[in-house]
Amino acid sequence: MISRSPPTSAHAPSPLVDAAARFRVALSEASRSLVAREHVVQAIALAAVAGEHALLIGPPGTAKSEVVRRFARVIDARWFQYLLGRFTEPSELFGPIDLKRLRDGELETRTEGMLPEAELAFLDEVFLGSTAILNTLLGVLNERRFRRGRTSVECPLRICVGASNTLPDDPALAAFADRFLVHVFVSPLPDSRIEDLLSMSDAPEGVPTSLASLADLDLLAQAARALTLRPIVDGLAHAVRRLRKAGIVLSDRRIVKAQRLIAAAATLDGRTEVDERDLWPVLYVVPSAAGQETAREVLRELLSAADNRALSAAVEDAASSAAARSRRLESEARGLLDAMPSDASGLGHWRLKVEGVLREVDAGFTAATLPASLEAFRTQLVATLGPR
Amino acid sequence: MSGGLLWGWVERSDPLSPCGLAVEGPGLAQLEARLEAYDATHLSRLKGVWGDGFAVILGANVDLPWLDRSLGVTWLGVDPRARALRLPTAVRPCVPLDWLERRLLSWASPDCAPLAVLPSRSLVVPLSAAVPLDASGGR
Repeated sequence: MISRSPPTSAHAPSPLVDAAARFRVALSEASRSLVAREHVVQAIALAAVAGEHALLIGPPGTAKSEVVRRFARVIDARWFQYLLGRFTEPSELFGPIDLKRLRDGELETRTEGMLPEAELAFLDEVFLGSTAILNTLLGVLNERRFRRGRTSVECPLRICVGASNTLPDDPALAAFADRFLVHVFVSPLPDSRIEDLLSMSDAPEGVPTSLASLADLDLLAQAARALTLRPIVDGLAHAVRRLRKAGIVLSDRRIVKAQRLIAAAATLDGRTEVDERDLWPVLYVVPSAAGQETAREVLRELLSAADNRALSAAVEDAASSAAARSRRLESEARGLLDAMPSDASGLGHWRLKVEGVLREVDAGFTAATLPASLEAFRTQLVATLGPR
Repeated sequence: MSGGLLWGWVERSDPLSPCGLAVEGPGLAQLEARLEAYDATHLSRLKGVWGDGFAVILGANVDLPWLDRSLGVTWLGVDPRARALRLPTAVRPCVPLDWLERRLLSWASPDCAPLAVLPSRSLVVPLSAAVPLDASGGR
């Protein structure tokens, strides 16, 4: 049964609540007009608040770079993106050698406008980088420090998002992939969403800028680091044991770092305590697509309480919890009610969308399990359709 | 008609995506009215089976008509553990699905598959006879 009243817990002090609220709006706007990619934006935000990096794995043309670009835009981050190839030189990412200093016998790198000065980085085809590039990247990812010759600069990097068509088989590259804690597998849209894709505008100019800020991100990250994780230790250990029993073995590093994601989830929900609602990010710590599929099954019951106001699409992707589904459907219903056409021309298409949401509500919840908040939206949507 | 089998139903934590709907009793007239409003192209993407006091319509999620649940509507989907059955999307049988599938197919004959299972009337409906709908209302 669905709990109609969420468990009580400590709520964050006002600046944190405000920052979480701004992030919620920013994430919503970042994924507006992107079809079925809300969870990707939210998983990136989760990783950023946790101080970790994210890897997007999926075929070309699945909006991986667009998602990152939008996230950078709404938080007004200075960002760097690059498509790596086998012949990419380190200077293309980290900056050219300072020739004046080289004449003096000193190897220094001019990093202006390059990755070492970025607050958010997107590296497409990241595994195609040379050994020299990946080794230098490791330092940037792990220590937030760029070192090359005499150059050693602290990097303001909040998150690096890597992208690749597939996970690498090479053990050395797999070890590098392991540095990206959050793995999100991005699939082409299902047949049922093609109409949505065709009717959506993909103009990035439509995404507002600076809805949240790096200061908000830093505040949330600081708050997440301060959370005590004791309340979820047993739950996380239980989840790891279930995964192991299903043949999914996480490295100790990933298990420990999963706690950062859990803390970040609670913080983004505007809370100062973690609880059973926040266990769901463990799904994104599972490195392979097949492993995540299995994990969804074996953790379904354990993650049934998953919920998050800011990250509902990611929660639904990871845990399929009723609360997350309800939040998404409420959001879709609210959007439709706000966008009700005033003339007859767009009414037919709009009514079909209303029916689509009602179909999903009725197919997903019985009358007994329908949350009260969603029931209210359902009633409003049914009223717009008039007598049938 | 459920082959003499009795079982209970429990809520699903993972609802199925609809690929059909069963309508019983008062909703039948509403269903016919909705189908009559569809153009021939839309109708051609749907199939249907009519019985005594019920109908089952099959099609892609986006093509299915929505009717209020108060009209006796059950949304149907496919559980990968029992692909020959069309089960309610929001609840699942509290018996093993592969066992139930085998029992129902042996009772109804595999030629009748897929089978729609309607908990409200303990009814199992063979869907092998489902026919594409046409502009006359589909029957």
